[in-house]
Amino acid sequence: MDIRKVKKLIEMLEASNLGELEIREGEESIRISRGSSTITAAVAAPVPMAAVAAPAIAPPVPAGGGAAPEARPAQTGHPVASPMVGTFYRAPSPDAHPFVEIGSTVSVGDPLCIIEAMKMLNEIEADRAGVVRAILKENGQPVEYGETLFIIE
Amino acid sequence: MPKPLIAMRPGVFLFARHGANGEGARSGFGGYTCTMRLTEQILEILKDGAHHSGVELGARLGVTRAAISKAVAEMAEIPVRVGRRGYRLPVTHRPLDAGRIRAIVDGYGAVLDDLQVLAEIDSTNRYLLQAAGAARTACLAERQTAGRGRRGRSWIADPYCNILLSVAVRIRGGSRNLGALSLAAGVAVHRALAESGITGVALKWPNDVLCAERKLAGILTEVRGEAEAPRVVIGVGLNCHLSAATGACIDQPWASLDEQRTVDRSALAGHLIAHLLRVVDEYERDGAAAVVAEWRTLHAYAGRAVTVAREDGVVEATLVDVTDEGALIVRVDGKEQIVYSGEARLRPL
Repeated sequence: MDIRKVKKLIEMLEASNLGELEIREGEESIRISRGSSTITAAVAAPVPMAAVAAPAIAPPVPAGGGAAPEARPAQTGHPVASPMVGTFYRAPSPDAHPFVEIGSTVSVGDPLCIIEAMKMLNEIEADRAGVVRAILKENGQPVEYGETLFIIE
Repeated sequence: MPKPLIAMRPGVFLFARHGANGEGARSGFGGYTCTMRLTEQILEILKDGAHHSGVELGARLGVTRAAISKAVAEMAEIPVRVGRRGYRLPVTHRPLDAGRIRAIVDGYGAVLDDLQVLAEIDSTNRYLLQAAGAARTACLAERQTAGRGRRGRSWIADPYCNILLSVAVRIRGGSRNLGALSLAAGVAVHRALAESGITGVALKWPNDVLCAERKLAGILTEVRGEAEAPRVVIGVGLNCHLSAATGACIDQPWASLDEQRTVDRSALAGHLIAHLLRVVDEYERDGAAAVVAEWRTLHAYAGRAVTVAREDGVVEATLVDVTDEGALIVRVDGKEQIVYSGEARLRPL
């Protein structure tokens, strides 16, 4: 599939209120969803009787504003992305209260979470004031570089 | 000139500060007024390690002999020796000397904008994290009242006889692959100890410094600020001398330098600061792989059976290696996994 076409499709998705877009064209199909920020392109396997064509997972493509998880309707808020690969913590220590909850009001500079990699603890601060509309990761989960962690509106 | 950091809290003060230009010791904090407690004034005089009589101390500080005696008695944790020839500090408890530390750092050609030696602070890491800006600052404290470790753990050390150090730097090149810098800090501490004649030091992933499989130093690295040029504070707690009472409060096997020798804390602090700054420069210039390669040669538990404790539970694993980014490679049930955060402990066989 032409990479320019993929780029165009991402732009179309971003401009829309859709959470997901799937296009089938002959043997090629592409599915772009906001939630995981990944593009899944599947090429129908030529092997007869193959139960399911193994999907080839393309490397994550940063989808800009794409942020809401698949199951939720598209959100319009400001996404806060992880600046590094690591482990996501919602609280400063295991027995402390989370920095924020859904509905918390935050100011610029307020801590939102900690990302840890190799005992390097990166406290992520709100870069925009507003209300926390979504928390997209569970405490203790691994996160990727660029993955959206919070939506602030 | 570096900007002054933060307004001082009650009970927190500086007793020596050195500018980037290497000028001599100044008491106080430029632009601020601060009072030096009598106990710290006495320590300033006693730090030469010589005997000083109560009469002499009283005359120099403008107080009575009785006031000197009372102030020394209040320093219960600092074992000032009292004898016929007067007061004297044992060699383990000589206060840090900012002038000597600065001279050693400068001797390496390391770029350090500001060096602060504090009598007391809650946490040197927290203190430097509060400061914004691009200044490369090192902060040492004689006493930490809330020393920190990973994920809410604490760091405890007897005052005036250990090293409690933080170094703040700004990292060009962004925070994306910053994790390996945490391993690099362990490499820097190893280099500084080797330079000071301390042997038998190895590193436990990601950067615990071990001696004879017991923890000699802990490193906590914290990051703030924008992703493109984050400010990183590397904190090092190094056991030089621990009292039996303090040692009993530590929940894992520990080691201290005085098992090998009585160290000159000021000299060692200078080597530590210089090597931390140097390893940061190497990391920025050459990337992670070179310093991670050096780390591998120091890996304490390579091939050993361990438990890895994570927020979501404990797994039994065998340590394999580290990736070029500094993540731990372990084998669990015959399959290799990559660990970004967790605590590995040796498993008894």
